[in-house]
Amino acid sequence: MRSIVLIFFFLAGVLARAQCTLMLSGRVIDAHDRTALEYAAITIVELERTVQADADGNFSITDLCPGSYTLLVSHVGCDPVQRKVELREDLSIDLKLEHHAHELHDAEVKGKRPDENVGQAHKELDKSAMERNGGKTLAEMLATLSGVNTLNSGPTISKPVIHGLSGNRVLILNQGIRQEDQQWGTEHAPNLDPFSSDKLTVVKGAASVQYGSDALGGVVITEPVDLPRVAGINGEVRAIGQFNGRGGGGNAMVQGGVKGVHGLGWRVQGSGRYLGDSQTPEYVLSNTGVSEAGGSASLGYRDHRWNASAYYSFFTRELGILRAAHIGNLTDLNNAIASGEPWYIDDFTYEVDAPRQFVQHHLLKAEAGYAISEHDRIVLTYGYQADDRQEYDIRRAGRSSTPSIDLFLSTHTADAVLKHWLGKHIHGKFGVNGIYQENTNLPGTGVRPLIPNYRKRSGGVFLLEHFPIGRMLELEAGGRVESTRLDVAKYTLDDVLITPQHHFVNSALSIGANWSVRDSLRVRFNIGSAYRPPHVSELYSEGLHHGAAAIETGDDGLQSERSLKGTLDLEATWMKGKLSTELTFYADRINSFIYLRPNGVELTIRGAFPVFQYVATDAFLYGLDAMLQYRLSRHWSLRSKTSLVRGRDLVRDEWLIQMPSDRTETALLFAVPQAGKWSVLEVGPSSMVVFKQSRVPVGVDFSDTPGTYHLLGLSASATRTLRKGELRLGLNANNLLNTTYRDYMDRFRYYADARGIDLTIWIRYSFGR
Amino acid sequence: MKNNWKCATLLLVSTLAMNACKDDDEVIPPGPVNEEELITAVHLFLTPTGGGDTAEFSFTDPDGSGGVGPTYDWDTLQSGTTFIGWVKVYNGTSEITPEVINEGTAHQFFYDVISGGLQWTGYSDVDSNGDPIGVTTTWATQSTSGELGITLIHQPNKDAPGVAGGDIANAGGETDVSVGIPYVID
Repeated sequence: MRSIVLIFFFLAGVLARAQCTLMLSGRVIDAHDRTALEYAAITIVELERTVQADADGNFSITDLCPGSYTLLVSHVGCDPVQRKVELREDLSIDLKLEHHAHELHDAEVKGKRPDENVGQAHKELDKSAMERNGGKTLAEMLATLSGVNTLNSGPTISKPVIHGLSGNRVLILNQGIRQEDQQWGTEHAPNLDPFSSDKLTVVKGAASVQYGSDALGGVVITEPVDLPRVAGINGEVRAIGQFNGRGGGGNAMVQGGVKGVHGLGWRVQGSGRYLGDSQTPEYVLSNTGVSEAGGSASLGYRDHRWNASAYYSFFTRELGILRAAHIGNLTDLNNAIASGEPWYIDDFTYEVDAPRQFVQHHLLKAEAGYAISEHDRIVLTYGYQADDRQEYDIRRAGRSSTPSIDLFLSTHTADAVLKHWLGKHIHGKFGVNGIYQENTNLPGTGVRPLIPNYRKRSGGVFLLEHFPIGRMLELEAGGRVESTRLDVAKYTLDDVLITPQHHFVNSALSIGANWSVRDSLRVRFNIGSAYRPPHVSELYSEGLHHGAAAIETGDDGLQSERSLKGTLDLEATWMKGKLSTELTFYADRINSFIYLRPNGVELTIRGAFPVFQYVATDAFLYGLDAMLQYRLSRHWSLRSKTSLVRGRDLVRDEWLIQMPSDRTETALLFAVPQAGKWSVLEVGPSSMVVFKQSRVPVGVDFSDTPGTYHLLGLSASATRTLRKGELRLGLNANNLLNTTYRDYMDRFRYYADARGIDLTIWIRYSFGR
Repeated sequence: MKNNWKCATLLLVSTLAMNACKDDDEVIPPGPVNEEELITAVHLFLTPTGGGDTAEFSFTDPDGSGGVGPTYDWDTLQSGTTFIGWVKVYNGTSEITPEVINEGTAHQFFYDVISGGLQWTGYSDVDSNGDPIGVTTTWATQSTSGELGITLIHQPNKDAPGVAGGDIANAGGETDVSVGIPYVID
């Protein structure tokens, strides 16, 4: 492996010495909120050369000689801006345009929602970063951002963790619709195809004002894709091959505008993934295969007053759960921990057997917007989600093919948002949301349901206003009130029907500021509150969890969790742009924090089981995300990320369980803008250290926390044109030294090691305009 | 401006109304479930090889985990006697021992004398691979009373050292039944 690395560096070095000159690159952004402005034109006046920025505002101009140039930047709906640059070496600059003053006059200009996330720390995973991480699940992709981790149940199931919080405390906003997909347990991953979107954004603050309940830890946003509005067809095809799991995946997308109907666009996309059993350095992780298929189609129209769009997507996944993680009782669990190796290891196979899950997620979305006046716009959105989940357990007498859990969840969401201006400066959003949800257990499982049938109705009102003060400072403030009703129907252990009802009323407030102290320093600050009514599983769970060898009991007296979180985000560049730093500090106080606490041992016919009870406590989480990027030379740069999380149980004065341990990742990047027929050549090794979690409550966990581990990785990619299209190739290697390790945030760490070496090779071809 | 607010108010009212007017319908109840996978009772019968009354030992937990705790029942055995033993497992009133025997290669009972003078002396049945299932067994008594343990393992490794001889240590698999029942030797 090491020789491959050397060859890469050698080649890259040779290519760099070829006749390539300077590159000017950067991003065109809105001067107020720093959101990207798509497809701006950048002209070098002296050379009469013009390039167009891409959908994310990124542009690059290559083959430039040293000297001073005048840049003319223009964008629909903006006044053109001139800027002088002095070019001595490759330069990356942000070009700011005064944008949104015009935006509401002219709906033709794409509404990049200038009034979101102003004071909230947020990080984005753009298209190229998603591409580099192809073959991973949504949560694993997000975990490449600082402050985001994953909570895993073996190699097939992973959930995103933002600032120490996960599951129902992380809201996923898919195409602008709250994702509702039966994610009540740690073994339920979000059912989402990451490639149905071009960009993923993680908001790392409490954001209930805008997004409603559950946004305690943060929000994961899959940005709706902007449809083409002019005639022409373009698209891309991507293929991914993965060594560990001996499989791969692919994705294809075609989009276009319609000739003669300016403003009408469409897009169709489909993807799939197929993997067999994963492998640790020493053994096969039996029954960890996964197969996925997803697709989406959208159609949209936009003119200067109206916009309307329809979107449909589906996603289906079948996955195996590590066979050795299915155990009988506490003795089995202790045996598994003591033996240090899974009790069930078989030969590699693509086949998936019980225990397994089969899920389907459908999303239908319709949106319409209308500029009711020169300044104000109303947007109506309706979403319907249908979820089908079947979980197959190991059963006797051939019943393994009968699901043990068979659930259907349907969710309707309706939103109405009025984007308005109050006078010349103050602008914001006023909105109402409604949710209607029904959960149904389909009969015939022969197993008492873990989640009872229920109906949830929820309605909320919010107002969020922005107050720009001068050009450098913008303040925001907002509030929301929401009411949730829950009707439950279930049979008790004595087969008596009960129909309890719950009613939760919550409110949230948020204030924030975005201050561009100077060009090289920006400060974002936000204090926001968030809430989460207890999930039905926390109220009414009653039963045995085989993967955890535990009996879980709900508490129907639990109240809503309430959180107050402050974030301070500093972005700065130093040494004329050579060094850039990003720091996010946060502190999060959560009252009525619901978690599973051990509550004695129960004797059953299967032997002894620990009992876990859902209880509430007050928690305090705080931490730091840090990112540092240093340009060592024209081609070399260094990037380092560190995340620290601390969580305390304030009532019991002890550490919280299942908090991510400290981790730091450093990557060296060698980049060449142009080398012969190839462009944007990038290659670099990375190194990640994850420290042992020593901050755990005493006497609660079944085993010691796993030790510190260190993983090496390598990634490389390059682009070239091929028949009017663009071909991009890449390679990604994880755990290069095939290190044996276990991670604290993997619930299956009691049973087996984590995955060994993994190589991913990907190729993407884009065509058309 | 005025118009906008009117519009918004209308929307708000209609959303809340939509929310409020469905109050009357009940959530459809899921229907009571007859648990198929549960094992609610284990009975061990010991019959003296020389003839005589069969002794019965049982562990019963009709409502599974939670709810009412389990109950035991035990008998008196004569000292210095050999016995033929057989075990029965139930889910409610239906016996599921046949299911276990049908999947004999994937199941095995293990017996362990936790204390006292009862002796488990071996298996007397085999699955389709010639390995023991442990539904029928042989026993012997000495003189002191104590407690016996019965364990049913799903997917044991029957080829592992000692497993076919009744030693659970290397069996692996997952536990379907694990109970302890007292006995009296007279």
